[in-house]
Amino acid sequence: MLALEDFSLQVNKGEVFGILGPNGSGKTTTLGILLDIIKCDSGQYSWFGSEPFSNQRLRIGALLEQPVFYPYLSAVKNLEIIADIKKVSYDQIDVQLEKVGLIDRKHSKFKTYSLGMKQKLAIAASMIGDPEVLILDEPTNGLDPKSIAEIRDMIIEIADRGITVLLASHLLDEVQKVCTHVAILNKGKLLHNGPVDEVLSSSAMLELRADDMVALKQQLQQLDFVDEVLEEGTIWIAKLNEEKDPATVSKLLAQQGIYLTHLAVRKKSLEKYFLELLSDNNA
Amino acid sequence: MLLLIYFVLIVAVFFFSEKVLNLFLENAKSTTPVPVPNFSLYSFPHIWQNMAFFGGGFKILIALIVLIFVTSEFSYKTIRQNIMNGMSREEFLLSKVLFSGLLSLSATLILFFSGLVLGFGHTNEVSISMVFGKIDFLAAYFLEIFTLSLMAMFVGFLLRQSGLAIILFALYYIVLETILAAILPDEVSIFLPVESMSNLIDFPNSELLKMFNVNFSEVVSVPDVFICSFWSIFFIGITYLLLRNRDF
Repeated sequence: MLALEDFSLQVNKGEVFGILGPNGSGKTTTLGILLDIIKCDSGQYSWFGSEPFSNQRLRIGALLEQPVFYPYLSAVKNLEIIADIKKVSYDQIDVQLEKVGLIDRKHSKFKTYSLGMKQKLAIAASMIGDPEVLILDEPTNGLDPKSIAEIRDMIIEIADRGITVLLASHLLDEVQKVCTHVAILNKGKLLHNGPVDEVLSSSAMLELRADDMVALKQQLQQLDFVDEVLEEGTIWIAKLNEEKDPATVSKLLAQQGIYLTHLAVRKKSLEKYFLELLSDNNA
Repeated sequence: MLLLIYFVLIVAVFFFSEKVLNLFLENAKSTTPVPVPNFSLYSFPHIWQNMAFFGGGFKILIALIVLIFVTSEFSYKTIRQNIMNGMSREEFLLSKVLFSGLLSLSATLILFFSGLVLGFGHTNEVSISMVFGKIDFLAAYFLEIFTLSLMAMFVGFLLRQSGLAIILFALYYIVLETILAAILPDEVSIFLPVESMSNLIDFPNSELLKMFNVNFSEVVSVPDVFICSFWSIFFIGITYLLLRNRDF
């Protein structure tokens, strides 16, 4: 059984790189190989422009799947172990705990934490040693909406500081909100790789409504930048083959005597794109 | 927790073993016509061999602690996290070897201090040479516990699940090797790990036993020191090979 098949990826400094894929598509395997917990049969990777060795991982913060700590030790003790491994002082432990809002519970044992607290502690842990790269695998898995928003804000804040982030997720919305670049995996194959904006803007659509819907459709079909007009509830969706300023569209239609009651630009969501890619791949 | 039980137990064994033995002797005296000489387990320098021998019987507790610590790294997935955080596999192995070493060392220190207390309390005329006369048994005691701990460490890394590991380890320690030793010829069976560990320190000689013309070795068995050292290195080496290419 081949978990990953023949692909290469490059992540540059400062990017927030999303790895998208359904469950079992090879996201965690890819990150596991990069972190030396999984040995690959063939292929290679490099970190910071050189051959991998264990000391490089001191410059990387990582959270893979669920948060992992010694359950019988307190948050502080667990972070001290990590600081020892990273060969840094204990000074920043309190700072990081403060940031994720766990400072009041810092002496509680890890096993007494709720799932959200565990996840936040894991983020704090991954920031110990001021990593240059942060690897997060499903960081909001199983959390309530409030915690998801908090963790997402933390990731954005971390990325703003210029730290390179690798984010694996099956939540498209999450990737769309935080990532600058995205790679899409399915069944161990790389389906797409590029900036998020590129994916989203390549597929502009307009939502339109007017009093005379039939005439509107006729007029739309005559415009040369409109590919297709689809019905969606009470509105028409016009698929455009190039980006158009909505003002231009509105003006053109007004010249034909059609006054719009609704006009909105709809960017194709990453989700739609993702599902299209998957169905192409599965076909 | 297990460590605490071990410490309490081992100190109790050291302090009360003579009482129990003497109880038997009192019985023996009253029933046999032969005059049984009075003797003490606790006189220098014999105390080191006596106590190392009795203490060695409890080494499996130390080994089980090591076993549980190693397997818990797998069940909590902390080994995976530690490697992700930047520990190399070699460093992780080293940390467990050091842990085994520290446990064995503290067990040896308990023996040393209990020995000093009991020895001074039970020896009439004490000289420095008497106190440190058979002190090499302490080193043998350390090696005995350390070797078994490393064996437990290896089993822990191999099986990864605590329940299975404890059962198989205890089964080998108590039953399997005994059977193996019985099947194999003596020249071969002395090389078995548990066998060589227990051969390191022979049954303590006493005036009593000499009366029956039974003679046990009064020195640390040097060949077994080599065999045990070999097993220690072997267990570390094979664990290293095991870890080197494993996925977590």
